[in-house]
Amino acid sequence: MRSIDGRELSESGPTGSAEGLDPAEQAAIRICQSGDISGLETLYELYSEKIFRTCFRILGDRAAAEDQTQEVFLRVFEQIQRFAGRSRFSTWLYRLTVNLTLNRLRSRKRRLLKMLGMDFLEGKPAIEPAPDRQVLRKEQADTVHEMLSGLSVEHRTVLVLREIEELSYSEISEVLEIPQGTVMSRLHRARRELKFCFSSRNSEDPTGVQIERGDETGE
Amino acid sequence: MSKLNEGTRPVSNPTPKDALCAVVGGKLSALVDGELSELERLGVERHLEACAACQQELDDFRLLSATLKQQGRKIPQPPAWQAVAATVDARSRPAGVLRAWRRADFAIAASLGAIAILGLVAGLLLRGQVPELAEGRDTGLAQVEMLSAGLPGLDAFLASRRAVEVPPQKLPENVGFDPQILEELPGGFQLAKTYVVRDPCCTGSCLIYRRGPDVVSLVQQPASHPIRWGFEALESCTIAGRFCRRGSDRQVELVQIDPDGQNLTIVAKAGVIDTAAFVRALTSE
Repeated sequence: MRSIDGRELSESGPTGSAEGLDPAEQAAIRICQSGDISGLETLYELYSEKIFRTCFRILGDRAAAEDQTQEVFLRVFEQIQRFAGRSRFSTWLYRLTVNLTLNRLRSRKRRLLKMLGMDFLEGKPAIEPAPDRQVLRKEQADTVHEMLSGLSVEHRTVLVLREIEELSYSEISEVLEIPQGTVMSRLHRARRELKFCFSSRNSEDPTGVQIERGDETGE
Repeated sequence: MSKLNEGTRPVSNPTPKDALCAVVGGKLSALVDGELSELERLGVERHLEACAACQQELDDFRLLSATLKQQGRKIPQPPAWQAVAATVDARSRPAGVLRAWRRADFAIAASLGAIAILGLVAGLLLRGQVPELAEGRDTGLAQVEMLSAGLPGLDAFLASRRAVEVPPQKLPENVGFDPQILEELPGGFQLAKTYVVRDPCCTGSCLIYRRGPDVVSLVQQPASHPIRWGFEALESCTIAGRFCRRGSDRQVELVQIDPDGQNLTIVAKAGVIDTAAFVRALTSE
């Protein structure tokens, strides 16, 4: 399978086993591979919440996440023939989701730079597209959104996979196609960046989001 | 309530303890995640007993982790299956034709191919070539080639239409379906009808302008998607009666807006606009 970057999406890896597959999932995959959309419906029931959540947390924009979720499942239907069962379906699906979502962010960045007449900056990684301002205002109360919006895309993605989707290092390694050691160091840097952003924000804005530290008061 | 501690680590004149902190610090994240081996875990925990700075960092990591875990899962509902089914249905048809071809159902595939080629040739001869969509461009004027059948009001309205070319022009900002609708376009086109096309994920607008028998249409990005521009919004959304065909109650509505832009009147439910065809048919150049 080929990712949107043109890289091959392999199915091998530490969790490269289809053992323990839910029979309903297996059946749905087979039905889907035969071109029957009802198989996709079952997969959607099983995974739509996870995929939407992943898109939502990485993109930070509900409408975009809805579109992206549709796009992911469309791609699943188009590409599921290539899923041979050598890895978990969920890993394959997360990889597809992350690849497509990061591609969307890159495309959004290109468009923004073009609109601002700054296309000459394209390719320079220092500028990350800010999440939609309007959405930011709407979701000011969303602590997690606040926490993640200040991070680089790379760090946001790895934190979403680990903290929210609760993937193991091995699974993250497969999804992002990086060694496990890199997963560990990236997560560490992501948490330090998160801590730094959060501390800075709170020190700048005393009314900003703060986290409950219940264990300190014995609550 | 408590804030996280900012960096408390010494940064100058590193001592052996600092070096140890640096090594252990790199493993704190994996300790939070339970991804250390037993041996590594014991080593890190031994260091933590004697190092308040590392212990503080571990506490902070755990706090952040717990918050993300607890609150990160509180999200809106994903889109309804019907929306996805409609997208798949709309976009997977060409693949279906290819699959039929591959399965050696040659007669059917050949017939489909011939019909498609004839249709394409006829379309090109009769209407001129339909250009590719321009990505990410500004809102612009458009040439109406066709609007899909199925909307009685719209079809009647467009019955006498003929396609006209209008040069692309930069429109003022704030052209939206809410109160800033342009009453007149350059070239003497008067606003005739205003439609809002809604689907479960977004709203777009379609403004119909007339100049005698000539009709142009202006499609605008949804106000709810300010980061998007022009056609992309319509292209990426599924706007169609396909919802209705599948019996969904989340069907598309076509809505006429009062001149003040405030009151909406549903003029058609179960409207059918083939989004892809609709978008392909609109071009500014």
